[in-house]
Amino acid sequence: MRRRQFLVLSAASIGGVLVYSLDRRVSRVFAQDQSTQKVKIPLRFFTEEEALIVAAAAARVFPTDDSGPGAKEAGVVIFIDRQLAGPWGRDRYRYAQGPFDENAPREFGYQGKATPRETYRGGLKGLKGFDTLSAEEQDKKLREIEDTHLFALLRQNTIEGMFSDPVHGGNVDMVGWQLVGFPGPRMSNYADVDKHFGEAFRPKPITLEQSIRRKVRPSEDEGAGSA
Amino acid sequence: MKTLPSTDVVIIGGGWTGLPMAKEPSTRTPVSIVVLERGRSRQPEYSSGMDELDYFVRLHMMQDPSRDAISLRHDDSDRALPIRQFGAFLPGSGVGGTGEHWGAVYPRLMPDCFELYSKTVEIPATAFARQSCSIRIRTGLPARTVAACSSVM
Repeated sequence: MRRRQFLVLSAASIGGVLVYSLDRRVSRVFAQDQSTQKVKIPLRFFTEEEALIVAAAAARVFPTDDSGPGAKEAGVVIFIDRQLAGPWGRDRYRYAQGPFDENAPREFGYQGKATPRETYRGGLKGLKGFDTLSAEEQDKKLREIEDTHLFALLRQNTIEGMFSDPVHGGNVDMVGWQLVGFPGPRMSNYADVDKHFGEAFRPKPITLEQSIRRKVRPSEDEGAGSA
Repeated sequence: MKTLPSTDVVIIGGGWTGLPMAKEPSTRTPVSIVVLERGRSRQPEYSSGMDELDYFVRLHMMQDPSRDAISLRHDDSDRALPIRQFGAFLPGSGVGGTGEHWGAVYPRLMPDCFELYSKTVEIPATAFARQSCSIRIRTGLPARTVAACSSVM
């Protein structure tokens, strides 16, 4: 059993409270002491070194800029860590027997043997020190690996971590949903139609748990930690 | 081996076909009916917590390819490859079957929908179509729509 690894981040970097107004102006509201506070996040799959590389790479795939928050604020690395630790990471539901054919036409999907865990663990070995590079150097490095399966997964997982329900560890404070104006999984808008008839209406997003008023158990918690 | 109670009718698959097939005789006749459905046991339904990532992106509401894989090739000369993760073709699993995740619009069938073939072959201009290819009857579309499409083509 390996020593438990943690990712240490400043609380501010994984999302203060972000408020989007209707005209898409962003304001970030931090609690006074939160900006200096460190958060220790237990990692389920990555080592701390791997987590820092993935966090930096995801932040280039979905950067933080004037239009709003990115992968860093959304905590995408935490999302990816949990996905890899869960059933998806070990290909629990993918047909993972032969024949394997890495050169199959695109429409057959990924036909290789490696599980997402193996793809990340193997691929990240070639990205040592990535998190210490400048943004330009990081982009150059990512362009070099653009055609690899690792990059395809990183890109897919970054987008998922930005926009899937916060129950999975990403989309912290629903920053991704605020960014695109998604109001969350509301079961019905019936009551709001008459109240806001004829006017722009952008409710504060709600999570699935808030919507159904019940705990939701994400699939990655089913097989967390098992090989 | 566990012996289950005897039943008059067993319907395999509780989707769009199986469920109405079970409902009609069970509400009108005294026959006993059992519907068999595959899939993992699933308590929550849509309104009580089917998360988009798990159920739609990771496809937990679909057939599990690690257990029930299918293979695909485009013609006899191709080498068939396994479908490792479903993509466009999404067979459902669990009660409701594929109908549970079907998200299109199905217009109400009008009487002429059932006369599509008869009406089409009555038109002299469609004679070439009768000779060169089979006419596929798409009952999902109102006949007027299909007729309009054919006249453009």
